[in-house]
Amino acid sequence: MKAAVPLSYKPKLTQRRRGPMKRIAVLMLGVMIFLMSGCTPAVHKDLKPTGYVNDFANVLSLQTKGKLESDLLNYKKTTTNEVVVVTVDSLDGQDIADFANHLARKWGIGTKEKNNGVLILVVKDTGKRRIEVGRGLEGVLPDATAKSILLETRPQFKNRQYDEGVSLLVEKVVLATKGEYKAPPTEEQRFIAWFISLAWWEKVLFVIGALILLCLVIAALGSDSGSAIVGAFIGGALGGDDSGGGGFGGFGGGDFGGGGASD
Amino acid sequence: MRMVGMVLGGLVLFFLFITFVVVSYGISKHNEIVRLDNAVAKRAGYVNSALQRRYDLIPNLVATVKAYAAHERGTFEAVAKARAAVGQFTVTPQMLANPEMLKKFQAAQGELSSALSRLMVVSERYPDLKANQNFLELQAQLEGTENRIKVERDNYNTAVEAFNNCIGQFPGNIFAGGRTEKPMFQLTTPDAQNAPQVKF
Repeated sequence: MKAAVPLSYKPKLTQRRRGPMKRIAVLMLGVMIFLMSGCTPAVHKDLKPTGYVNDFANVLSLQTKGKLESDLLNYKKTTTNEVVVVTVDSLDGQDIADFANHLARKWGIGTKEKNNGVLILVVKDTGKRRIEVGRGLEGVLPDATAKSILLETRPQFKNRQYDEGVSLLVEKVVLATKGEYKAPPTEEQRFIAWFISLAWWEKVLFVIGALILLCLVIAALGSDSGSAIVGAFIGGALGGDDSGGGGFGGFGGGDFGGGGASD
Repeated sequence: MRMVGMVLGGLVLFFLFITFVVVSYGISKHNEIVRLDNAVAKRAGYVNSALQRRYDLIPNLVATVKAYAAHERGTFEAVAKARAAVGQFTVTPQMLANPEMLKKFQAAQGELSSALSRLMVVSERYPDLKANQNFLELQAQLEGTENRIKVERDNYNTAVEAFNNCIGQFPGNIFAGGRTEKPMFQLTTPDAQNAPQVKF
C-alpha cells in the first residue's frame, strides 16, 4: 500500500515540472507559426523556371522540348517577347486564371518596360489550358484571339497529343505577337545600316581606308613585335564575345493584368 | 569649468545628432508613406480601367444577344438598369477611400455582374447565338474583363494593405500626416467566398 503512493506521485511531479515548459514551447510554436503565416500568404510549392519550356508534367518529348526551347529563345532575341510554356500535373482545384496570373507575375515573364510576356499553361489532369497575356501584348493578342487559338487546338489536347498541341499553341501565339516589338539592332546590323547610308564616294573612301589598314596589319605581322600587338588585339576582340553558360537566368520582370483566355 | 563646458558641448552635440537621426528617419518614413499612397492611387486607376472596359463592352454584347433572343426583355432591362447605376459613380481614388461610397459602388458593380451572368445564362438557350462568331468573341472578352477586374481588385487590396500597415504601425503613424487607413474591396458575390486558395 505504501509503495503505491510514491509510484502514483512520481508522474504527477514530473508532469508538474514539465507542464509550464511544455506550455511555453507550444506557445512559442504557435507564435512562430502565426508569424510565419503572416509572411507567406499561402502554402505553395515553389515552381522555378527551367527555361522557356517548363514541362513539369512530363508530357512533351525531348525533341519537341528542344525545338520549342530554341525557337522561343530565338523569338525572344528578335522581338524581346517572352513566350513561356508551362505544363503541370494538377492545380489541386485552384482556378486556372488565378494560378496562371500569379505564376506569370512571380516569374516576371516579359520585359519590365514592355510587359511583353505570354504564359501558355497546360494542366494534365483536367485538360484545361490557359493563355495568359502580359499587359503589353493585350493589343495584338486580345482575349478573343487567345480564346480562338485555344479552341482551334482543342482536338490535339482532347486526344492527349501534347507535342502537337503545344507546338501549335506556340506557333499561333508567336504569329499573333510577332509584329508588336522589335529587338534593338545588333552591332553588325547597325554597321551595315550605317554603311548603306553612306554616299557612294564615302563608301569608296571607307573601303580604301580598310584596305590600307589591312595592308598595315599584314606588314606588322611580318615583324615580331608587330605580330604580338596585332595578336593581342585579335585575341581581345574574340575574347570579348564569349558568353557565360550555366543555369537559366530568369525573365525580364513583366507584369500581367489578367488578360488572356482559358479553355 | 572646463570639464563642465566639455560635458555640455558633448551633450549638445549628442542631442543634435539624435535630432538629425530622428528627422532624417521621419523624412524617409514620410516619403515611404507618400510612395505607398501613390501606389494605391495607381492601382485604383487600373481597377477603373478594368471596370470601364466592362462598361464599354456591354452595349455591344446586349445588341448581339438581342438579335437572337429579342423577347428576353426582362434580362436586357436588368442589364441596362445595372449599367446605368454603375455609370452614376465617378471613380476616383478619393471615392474608393470613402468606405460608404465604396460599399455602394461595390453593390452597384455586384448588381451589374449578376445581371451580366444572367444574360450569359439566357444565351445558352439559343444555339444560333452560341455559334455566332461575334458572340463568341464578346463572350471571351467578357470573361477576360471579369478576370482583369478580379486581378486589379486584388492588386488594389495588396497596395492598400501595404499603405495601411505603414501608417497604422508604430513609427509610421507619427509621420502619417493626417492620412487615414483606406478600405479594401470586399467579397460581394456569395460564391466568391468559396473560391479556392491561391497557391502554386
